[in-house]
Amino acid sequence: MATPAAWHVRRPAEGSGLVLACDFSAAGRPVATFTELAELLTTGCALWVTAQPEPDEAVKMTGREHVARWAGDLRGRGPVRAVLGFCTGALYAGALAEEIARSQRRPRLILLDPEPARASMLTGFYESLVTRRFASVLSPADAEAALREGRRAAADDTTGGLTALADRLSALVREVVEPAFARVGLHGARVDEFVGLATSYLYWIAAADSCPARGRWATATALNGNTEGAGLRSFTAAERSGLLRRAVYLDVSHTDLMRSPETARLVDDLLTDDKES
Amino acid sequence: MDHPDNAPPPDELVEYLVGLWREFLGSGDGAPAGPGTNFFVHGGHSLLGITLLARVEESTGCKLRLADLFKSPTPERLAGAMRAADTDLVIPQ
Repeated sequence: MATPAAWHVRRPAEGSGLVLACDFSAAGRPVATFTELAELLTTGCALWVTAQPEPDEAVKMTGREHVARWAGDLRGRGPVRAVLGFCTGALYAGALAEEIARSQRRPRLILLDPEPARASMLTGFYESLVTRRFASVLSPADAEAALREGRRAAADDTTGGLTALADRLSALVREVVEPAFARVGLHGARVDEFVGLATSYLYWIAAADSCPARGRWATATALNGNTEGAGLRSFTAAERSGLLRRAVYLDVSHTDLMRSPETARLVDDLLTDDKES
Repeated sequence: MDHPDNAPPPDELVEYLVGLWREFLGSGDGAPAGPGTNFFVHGGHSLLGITLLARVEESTGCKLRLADLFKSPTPERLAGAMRAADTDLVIPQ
């Protein structure tokens, strides 16, 4: 059978069932990924993680179109046992589980530090590029100007939602990256690659906003870390009420959640418990 | 040639990449980088990563994308990915 284009195979077929995981997997960051969680799981199953489309495609896609792309690549590949989602990937996971349930038994839904998509995620990402990633190549005046432009972009017309904000911030990312890369001798394809990656991430969050959590997460179990402001802790009490079937809180940070043996043990338990679904 | 204690022979490409990891990441708060050090867990980020890949391309002729580094974030795994992608690698001495 052909290798899936919309998925990264993190564990090949092994035992019964396919487990799917939604995350922005093309992100260089210290936060543990499903690749690390896959290495800790003992349940016999294949594990596939969402693959990002090319950046010029990603900027045009809605949340529904992302889900349709992933689901389209599952036809004829056997029943899906569970769908996992990390952070805003949990919004896509809920939508994907619902789509899969149209053609088979509803897969189990397991969410790890699930979060809503918020404008502050987009602006926070842009600001971290300016103040951390590019701190060594931007002058203080250039960095301040870039931050000022970011604040202006966030304050501009907010009626266009997160996609309009992603449009504005993507344009600013290129304005920051081109001269910064030139200072360290990087040009052309390397600039395009970096801008494409940053742009894909901004639009990944923006498109997730069109996948509502309420209702779709009703059967889910959420495993949460202890980082303030992350995962379920980023919801208000009213937002959390009735949102999930079950929530478990672990004494592990958001960064390490998917490299924790305790998380892996709980995911294994959920994957093998046929009573709960 | 035999190696003491049946240790595997040194892999020059992995050693070259470990050197780059140490140059780009410094020693941080822990031990210096080794073959299994994850670039992104030990202080690396996408800008540093893309700069490292530009250096690798300049030195070895092997053109890698950031996605390759995300998938293979340790010297050992990146060396494997480079060998799979390019059979005419130049390994810097």
